[in-house]
Amino acid sequence: MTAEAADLDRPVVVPDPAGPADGRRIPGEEGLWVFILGDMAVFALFFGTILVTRGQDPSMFDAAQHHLHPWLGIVNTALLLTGSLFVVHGVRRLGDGTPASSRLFALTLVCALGFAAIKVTEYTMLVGEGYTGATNDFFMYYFVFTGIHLAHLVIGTVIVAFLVRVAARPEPTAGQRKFVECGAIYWHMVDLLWLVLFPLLYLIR
Amino acid sequence: MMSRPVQIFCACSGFMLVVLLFGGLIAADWIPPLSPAESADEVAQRYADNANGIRLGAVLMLFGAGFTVPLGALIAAHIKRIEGDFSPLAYIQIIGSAGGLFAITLPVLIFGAAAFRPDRDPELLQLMTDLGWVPFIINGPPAIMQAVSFGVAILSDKRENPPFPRWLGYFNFWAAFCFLPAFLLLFFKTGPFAWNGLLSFWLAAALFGGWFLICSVMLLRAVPPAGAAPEVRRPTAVTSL
Repeated sequence: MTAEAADLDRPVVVPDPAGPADGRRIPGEEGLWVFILGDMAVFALFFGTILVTRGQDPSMFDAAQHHLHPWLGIVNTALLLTGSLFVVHGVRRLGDGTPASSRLFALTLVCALGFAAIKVTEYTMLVGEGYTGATNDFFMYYFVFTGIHLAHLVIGTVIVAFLVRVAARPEPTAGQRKFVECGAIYWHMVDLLWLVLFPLLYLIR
Repeated sequence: MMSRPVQIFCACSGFMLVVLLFGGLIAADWIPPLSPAESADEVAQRYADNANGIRLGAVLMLFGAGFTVPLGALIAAHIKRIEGDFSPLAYIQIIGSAGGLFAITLPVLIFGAAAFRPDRDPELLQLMTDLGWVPFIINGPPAIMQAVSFGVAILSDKRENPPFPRWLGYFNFWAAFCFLPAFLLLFFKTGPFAWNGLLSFWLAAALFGGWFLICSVMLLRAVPPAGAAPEVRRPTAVTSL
């Protein structure tokens, strides 16, 4: 099989002229994965912190957990996953001559803003009900870790807003394609981190 | 090239900083760090038991802090080559490096002054310990400025053979991110966010030391080989470098 044929077999239609000829290639760019894996390693420490603290006082954790609003968390999980789906299709349809890619990223943007609005609503509800970071360890970690995640999401929202603009170009350059892929990877990371954080805080029994 | 030995010296100063800073912490018996939950009497006992160790540690860390300057200056010079004449990122690097010098020096001077009279009232020794440890761990913004300005410069380098790999740019962003949790230490006396905790101390210290070590290695690799032709200046390059 020639290199070109191997290229055609690839499932994602994002050719990278600078990529290796054997058709195996790292999405986005190599260096970005230093940040992605590093960031996920730090979140792994966060997750460990939650579990260790929970292990020290499970009854306090269970009692405090009941005051969260799991439905808001479930809706937010659905929003992030839907956003990821739009991102996947947005990357696939990039540069196909239609405005589809740009519109798909715009839909991701709607999901991101929806997530942020619901998160802020939940913070407001909790504070109104008298639960703040000072209440106990559970709420401290809840606010700190979901807050750090929300900061990641805000950065992701800004990146996706750029993707909407870049994807609107009829013929994106190789550099722009790379940028779109990097942005998509970052979005998926924000999604993935929530998929662990959500059950650890809301669901674990 | 005239500046080759100077570049090598500046690049190696990251190693010196790590050796002196962490050597000083070990001399003061502050690895692992004392807990912010310790009582005034427990704190006073530490100064009584190890006054000379803390004094020696303060001196070592003071000189270690000085080595932030040559490293920051070399990074700034590289950034200036990337940016050309109009170089805000290089100025951020220089000012961040000066802030980093202050961020280490200020608490170290307080540690030294505390150990100077270890028979002081325990309450006062605890106050000085707080005055030292809180800024020592929380003062991340200068390092964040250094890491982010270097990272942005590396990723925006459009030259044909850039001296730094692109992953180093992303590594800088990650390091900057890891310095962030430390600001939570004001709210905790125990747990991972306390000044001796997993996220405020161990993660931040590992990445702070790691940042200097990796920068040193990469800056050494960027030193042109002996006898290499001087880089052809682009029209925008500033000649006063």
